[in-house]
Amino acid sequence: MNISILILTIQVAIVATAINLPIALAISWLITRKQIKGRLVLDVLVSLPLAIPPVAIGYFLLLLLGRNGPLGSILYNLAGIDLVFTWIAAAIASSIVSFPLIARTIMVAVASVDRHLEMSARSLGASPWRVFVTITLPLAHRGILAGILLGFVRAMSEFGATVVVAGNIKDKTQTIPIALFTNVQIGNDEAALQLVGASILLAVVTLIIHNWLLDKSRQKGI
Amino acid sequence: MEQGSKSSHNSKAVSFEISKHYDNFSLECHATMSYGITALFGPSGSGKTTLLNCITGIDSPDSGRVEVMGSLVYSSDNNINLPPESRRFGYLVQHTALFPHMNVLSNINYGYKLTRESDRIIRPEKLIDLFQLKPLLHRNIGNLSGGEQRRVGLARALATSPEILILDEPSAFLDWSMRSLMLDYLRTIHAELGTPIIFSSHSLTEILAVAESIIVLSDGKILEQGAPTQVFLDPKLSRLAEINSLENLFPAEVHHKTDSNGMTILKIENINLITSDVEFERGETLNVSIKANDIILATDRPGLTSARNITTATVEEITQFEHHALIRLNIGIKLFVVITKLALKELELKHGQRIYAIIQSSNVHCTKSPAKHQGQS
Repeated sequence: MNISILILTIQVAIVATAINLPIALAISWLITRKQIKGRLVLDVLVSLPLAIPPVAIGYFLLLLLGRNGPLGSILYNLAGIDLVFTWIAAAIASSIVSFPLIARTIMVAVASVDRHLEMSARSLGASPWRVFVTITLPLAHRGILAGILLGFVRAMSEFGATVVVAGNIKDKTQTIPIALFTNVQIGNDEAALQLVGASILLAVVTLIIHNWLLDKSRQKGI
Repeated sequence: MEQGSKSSHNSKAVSFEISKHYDNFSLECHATMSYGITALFGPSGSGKTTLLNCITGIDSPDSGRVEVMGSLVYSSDNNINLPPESRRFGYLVQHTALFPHMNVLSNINYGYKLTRESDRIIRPEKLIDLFQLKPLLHRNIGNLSGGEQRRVGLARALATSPEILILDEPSAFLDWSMRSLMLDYLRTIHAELGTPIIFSSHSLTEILAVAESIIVLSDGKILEQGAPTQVFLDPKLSRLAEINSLENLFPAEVHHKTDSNGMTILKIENINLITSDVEFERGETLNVSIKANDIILATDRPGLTSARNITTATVEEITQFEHHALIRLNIGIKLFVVITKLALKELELKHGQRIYAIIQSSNVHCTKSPAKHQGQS
């Protein structure tokens, strides 16, 4: 197995999670704390990627980001950028597919923070934004960590959307699940098993890091 | 953000006119609260918390106006609705709501650091002193008792140098000794820092102990407003007041340690009081509770009695209820006594009359003052 497959898989999952985290935080704040109009619509949108086939998401992205697509044409004409069939397309596909997991988990965590604490912070002079950063986020950090974990592992194992919009290009867009699929198709059992092993190893390391972070926060007495 | 407009006279601490409707409850009230200590009295579910939330800006009324120290902070007519962080209240919510991810000191400093330098009148050090928090400063919130949490909450709210301190049921879930200390703190805050206080309570004991005026709230409406003893003249309200459970709560110092007879002499201001509660050392600070209907009144000095405390008293106020009368005595401190109306008639009590108050030593209940106790350890 080529080590670059491993690195690419981690790279795609990290970028996907990095894109998702601030959006998930902002949306969980809007939905649980701001009582904005259109909350229900937003709530449905958050969960939508979970409910439709990943291949459909990949196809939608292909149409959107393709050189003739509404967004792709703008990018190509203005900056000469073509995202389709690049690792960035893989990261975008992974981020959309994993978004419901990270967003829903964070929403639950944020909603469970005691409103009295936030009210008290407001009356002590803190703006809503400061309250979110200094009270809500620290108190919801376990759920946020769990959301990051869920989103990250989902992004690492993403296949359907990625293969449609990023293709199956060795050393460029071929992540572990895609390489695994290829090797299973051509009957290369040895390589396939290696990739399965790599997947398990990645999952275990991710879980260990997650638990270590939780443990560290527990020692701080939060 | 709109700024509250200053008006020239601000003789009132807070005046409000609030209407807020929910599906099954409506708050519809207006009142003014003066400087000093104002109690918001009402049974649970009467709208006390909703009213306090509307005043502090945590909640928005449907319509009305809220004026604080002559400044409009809310007005539906003028489209003013200052957010809570701009209203300069110190608000202690019912569950104290200390930040569990910060230690005691960080809790106290949270609001202080957000207060403009020119507004910082009350220093945290003074509050740490006042509430005897020094030994607790680096403790986690989870390791504090209910009373300790309340003290930290008070310090945190006051560290913003608020224009007005608002407390929602400050002594809920506290035992009577801690409640008594809490009342003592309210008096101290008002005396030492001069901060006007509004607190909600459903205990007549607390209200008579510290409040200068009272607003009675029931079912979202204000039934009565005025001096605490006067307000309860209405028979409808006297039932709310549960006058038979009234206690006198005050701090006292041990003057003579428990002797071989099991008697301890307490000193309060200039009077001595004997209690049969035991094992106290000289100089200790105690919280004392005497139920108002445990005190016997006599117009003439009684001969030998089994009661250990017989003290002269002046009748300062008589309030008659349906079946009972509430007498405010001065024995060097304020002491409330509840007697039956029949007794009142026979004793023919009048304002200013010199009488005798008789208190059995077993009815003088004492516990060590929790904070003072900790301060020494």
